[in-house]
Amino acid sequence: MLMMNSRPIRDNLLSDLGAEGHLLAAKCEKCGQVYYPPTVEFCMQCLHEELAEIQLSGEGSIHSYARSEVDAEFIKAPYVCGVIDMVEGVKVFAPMHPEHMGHPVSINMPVKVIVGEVWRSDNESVVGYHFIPA
Amino acid sequence: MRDVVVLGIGQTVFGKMPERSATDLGQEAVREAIRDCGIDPREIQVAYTARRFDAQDDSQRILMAHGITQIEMFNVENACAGGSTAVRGVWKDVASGLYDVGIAIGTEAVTGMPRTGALASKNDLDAELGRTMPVAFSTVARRQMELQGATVHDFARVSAKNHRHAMHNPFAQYRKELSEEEILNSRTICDPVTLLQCCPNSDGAAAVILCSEAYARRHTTKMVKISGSSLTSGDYAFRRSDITESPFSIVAIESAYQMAGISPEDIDVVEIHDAFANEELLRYEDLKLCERGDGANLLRSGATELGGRVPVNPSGGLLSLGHPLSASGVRVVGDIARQLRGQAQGMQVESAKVGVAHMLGGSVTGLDGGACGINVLVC
Ligand SMILES: [Zn+2]
Repeated sequence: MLMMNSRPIRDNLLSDLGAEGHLLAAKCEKCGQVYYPPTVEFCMQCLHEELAEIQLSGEGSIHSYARSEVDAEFIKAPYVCGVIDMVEGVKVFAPMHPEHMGHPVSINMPVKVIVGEVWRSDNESVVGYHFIPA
Repeated sequence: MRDVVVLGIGQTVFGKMPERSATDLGQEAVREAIRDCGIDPREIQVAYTARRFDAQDDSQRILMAHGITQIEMFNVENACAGGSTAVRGVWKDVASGLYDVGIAIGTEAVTGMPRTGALASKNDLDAELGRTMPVAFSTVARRQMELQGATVHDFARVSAKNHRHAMHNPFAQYRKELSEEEILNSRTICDPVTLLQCCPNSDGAAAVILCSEAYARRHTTKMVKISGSSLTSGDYAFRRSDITESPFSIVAIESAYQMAGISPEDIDVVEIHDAFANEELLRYEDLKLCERGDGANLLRSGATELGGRVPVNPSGGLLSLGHPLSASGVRVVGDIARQLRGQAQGMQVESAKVGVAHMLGGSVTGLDGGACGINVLVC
């Protein structure tokens, strides 16, 4: 069997490409503001330059959601996706894991964000993240 | 800052015209704007042209067909607010006294492009994970339904209203009355958003000629002035707790109202960004036509229909008139000017004296939006 190359959807976004991976975020060491994605050079709230790299717990709740009947650039329809209020105080947009598509989704529903393959192209597995019911 | 007059307005028909170029469309809009005010085009001193896709020295290419060369020209891009940005540029140059007359143009030719409709931003993380524009508006719609009591019938009613308005607009892409039922039964794009709650892909162009009061007096007695103008960029998304909020839109609106010295109850007519039907309800609230969370009730009261207290999108809006992205911000200024001149014919709002032209655009991961441009027009 041909081995698939895995690549993260973005560098410096995931602690690990496996199922035990977490989303990486940046936390201001002065005011505590959390940033996701962590691509910030300094705190945009207080301009402090020291930011700590933290791992998001993955726990959150649905801020809002949608079921798309049309393809996105890389995600095939139909797919469910949502904006998630993470317990760390940031919002994360994520598609729902296809295996859980049949599960009803509602605002405020507790969910977990997990790392995994979001699409494949040219023998390449692109690793991002999904949400699943908690 | 001195007063700025909207002297000439012009636009093409909006629609699918894959055989026409953005240059060709822009030239037609400019021709109409010049014809509208009858000035010698060589008197134009400054030009700003907005275009989102495949921009290419557009001011120069468009204006060379009208004898306009060797002046200060800008080419700008600011997503759907690109047209507002062009108007804002000319407004600043005339209001500051730097120039006496200038032209703002917005043009777009997208339906002939290879990947029509793929309007998502390149290299955008959320877009790659499935956050298309319909998804973005659909997630907002879900919260409007859950937290504000809006229903899919309200969204359908917005679309039905704007389609009904567009029946009187000779420039509209769709001039067909649609029932709420037809709208709800059209193909589901992203539940609760159906096809007929989305603005179409459109080609088209619009142009407005702005000038000083002294210059205007030589050409017209119908003085429609821009009394308030603003352009505000999006803020960090982490600063808002709810995706239904667009703080930058509110900042832009408050700033323009303050400059114009108007209150929301002074407004007679409004043209806004209604890319998706549910969005229109949020803009009622941003514009303070009603309290926050009360957009659906304002719609249900009939206030925003032609004949109501404050008609919104009498042109048909993006939903029915069409949305050539960068043209829309210029087009709304032309439409409001036409209303205040009393020349809007079947779309006319009785004795309109104060109108607001709103346009908003841009989708950037990490920000709550791209830009919002407001122009308050008075006569
Ligand atoms: Zn800080």
